[in-house]
Amino acid sequence: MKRVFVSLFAAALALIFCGCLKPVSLDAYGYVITVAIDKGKEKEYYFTFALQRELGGENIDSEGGATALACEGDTIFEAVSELEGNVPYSLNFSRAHFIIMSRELAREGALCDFVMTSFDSLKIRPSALLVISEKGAGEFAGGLYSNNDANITKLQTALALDKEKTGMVSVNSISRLIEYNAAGCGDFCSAYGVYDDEIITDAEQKKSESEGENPLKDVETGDRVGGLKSRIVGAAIFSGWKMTGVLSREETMYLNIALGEFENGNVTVYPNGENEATVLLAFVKRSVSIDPFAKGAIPAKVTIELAASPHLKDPGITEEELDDYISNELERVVSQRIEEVFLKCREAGSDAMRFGTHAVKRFSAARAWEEYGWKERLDLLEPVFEVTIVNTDKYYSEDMQ
Amino acid sequence: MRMNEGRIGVTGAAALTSAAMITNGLFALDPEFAYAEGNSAYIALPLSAIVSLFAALALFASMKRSNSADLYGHLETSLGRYGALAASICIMAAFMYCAAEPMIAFLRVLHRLVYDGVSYASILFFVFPMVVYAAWKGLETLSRSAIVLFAVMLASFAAAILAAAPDLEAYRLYPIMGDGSGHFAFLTAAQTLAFLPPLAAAAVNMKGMNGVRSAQKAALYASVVSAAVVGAAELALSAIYPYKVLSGLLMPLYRINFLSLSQSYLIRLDKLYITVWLGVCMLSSAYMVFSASHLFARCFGQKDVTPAAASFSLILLGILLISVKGGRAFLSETHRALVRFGWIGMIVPVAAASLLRPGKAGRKA
Repeated sequence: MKRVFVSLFAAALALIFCGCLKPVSLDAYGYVITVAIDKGKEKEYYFTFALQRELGGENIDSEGGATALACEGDTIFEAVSELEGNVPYSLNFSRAHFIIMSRELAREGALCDFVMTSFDSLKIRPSALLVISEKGAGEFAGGLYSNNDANITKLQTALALDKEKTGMVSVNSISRLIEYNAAGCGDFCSAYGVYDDEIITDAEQKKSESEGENPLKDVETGDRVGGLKSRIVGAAIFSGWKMTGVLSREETMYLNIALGEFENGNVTVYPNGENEATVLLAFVKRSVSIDPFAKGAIPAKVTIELAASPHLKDPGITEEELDDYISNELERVVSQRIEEVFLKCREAGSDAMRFGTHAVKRFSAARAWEEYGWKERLDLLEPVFEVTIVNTDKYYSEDMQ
Repeated sequence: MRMNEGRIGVTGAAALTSAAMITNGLFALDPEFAYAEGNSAYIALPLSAIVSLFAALALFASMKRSNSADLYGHLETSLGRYGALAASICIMAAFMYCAAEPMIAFLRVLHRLVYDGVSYASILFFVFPMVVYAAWKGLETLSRSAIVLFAVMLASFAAAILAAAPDLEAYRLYPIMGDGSGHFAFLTAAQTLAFLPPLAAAAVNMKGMNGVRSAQKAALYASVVSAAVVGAAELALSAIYPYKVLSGLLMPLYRINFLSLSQSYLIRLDKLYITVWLGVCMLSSAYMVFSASHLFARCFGQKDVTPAAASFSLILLGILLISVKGGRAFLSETHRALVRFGWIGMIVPVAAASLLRPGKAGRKA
């Protein structure tokens, strides 16, 4: 009898343990994929939340993509509670992949307010990517989902892949922003995007086709066709929580090279001053040495090794000319461009090249590092960039011979 | 006699002791104390586990000399009736601290980061019955569950750290031992409150562990494994978060997979990991409650451990209810003092029992 009782008791406990606390069915949640923040008219902020739309039948307008909810509020909580009163589900932020903020707000340092108050409370994962939008963040978010993609969360992965292939994108999560501001040994840079209404999306082409028009008529007129209306045009650089500057895509590539976050990319060169050629670059290694205790200027040396693979483009250039250019000139050009990017960042008060992460290694006590005040000494930093480029095609062909 | 000890082997005893040591070391760590002045936790915590092992080995050696059946018997022969009572009260308090502290951390994390809109009390009453049940069932149930859960826990730690591996950066470890030697020594000493009670619990439950030699072996294996696991986990955490971020994070181990940009099944398993860790935490708390009850029963000559187990479970429930509500200044001050100086209350009776020569009763035995 006792065994039966104990077994029943154990089974009851096991059942209780397997249950749910405050169970909510999946369709009772609206999963917010993107949070876009603009300046409000009547209240402080204007929030746009993009939710993944369910796949729905034949209609091209309901193939997927995003449903947008937008509302003004002094805080995100105010906007969420107002919106939740008007929709038949609760907003769930645990799958938020993008945080988009307008440049205007980012320059005012509004990110600090947003990140510090909302992340844990709304259960937003700090792996969410930050994108600064040149104009309206809501408009930029709309452009991201203008293709009605079946899975809009893949866009985050697409950005990471773009960085891997071209090196011209800065892909950093909010966790890095929090880290650099807490640790004080570097500054954040994020993707910087624009909304381009002129771009003809796949969805618009499909619509043209369904209306009996030639879907490729736009190609013939020379318009920009395909892809999304929102695109990444460079990187936003920060000083602490405030955005202080913008880098172009090319400058972002040199920043990534200096940071050691570059994998592959290409540069256009003019070996004889007229004819153009493309050189593919691949990252090999990088080392940084810095002496934060030097009197006066703080010397630093960044040694970067890249592998180059030339691709002839113009018949006016000979292979020897291109080899010669890579061996003698390209190294100088790349190091000069990196230095220019460094100066641009420093002018913006940003340690986007994160020399602080190397300077901190020279300190033996946390208190000494905090008292040192790295950011205040950024103007004293005088780095030297030494770039070595190995022409891998030449090396392989010589090796083969 | 109903002491619910049964008989457990060295593997079961080591798994149970190690589960409790790892739970206390990793999940009950006060981030503000450990990281605010710099980070040396990845060295201090494993070192603390080894220091605790030496203290426990000294205790076991002394117990061998006194030929005592368990810790209370040894305390009585070494310190006399009243001395043993006073030492037992300190040790029971340490056991209850180790039962409550990781549970409080888990309740906070579950409330803030896992369950939407669910109160502390609901979560507490969801997990608490299993702690009471396991403590009431006794040592054999605890050790068998530990053998199963321990392997799963190690696998989940490994998976969580491996998934976070692309985000590890060496510069975050700097300044190495940046909190200074004074704070490092203080942290090492203070963390013995997390590691020594589970080892002392092995001495309390020595009869169920088949004598002093088996208990000593279990303590040795448990300490080495715990030092390695806690050290590896803390090192990974330190390479993912700089000390300034760590000092403000509640249970950073749960969050290490929140940072990765890549999407994979391994990355999104955090809810599964926390369920496993919560299971181990419940087991650890139950073990501490059972050990406190066992010591209490021995102190007051009770032949049945279950009334004491019920009482200590109620005490634990009270501590958890008061702590998770929080908000009172005196509570946080008391907690602050316990985290920093509570170890003295544990180390003094253990040291006294190890160093003092057995009295007449002991010599006769």
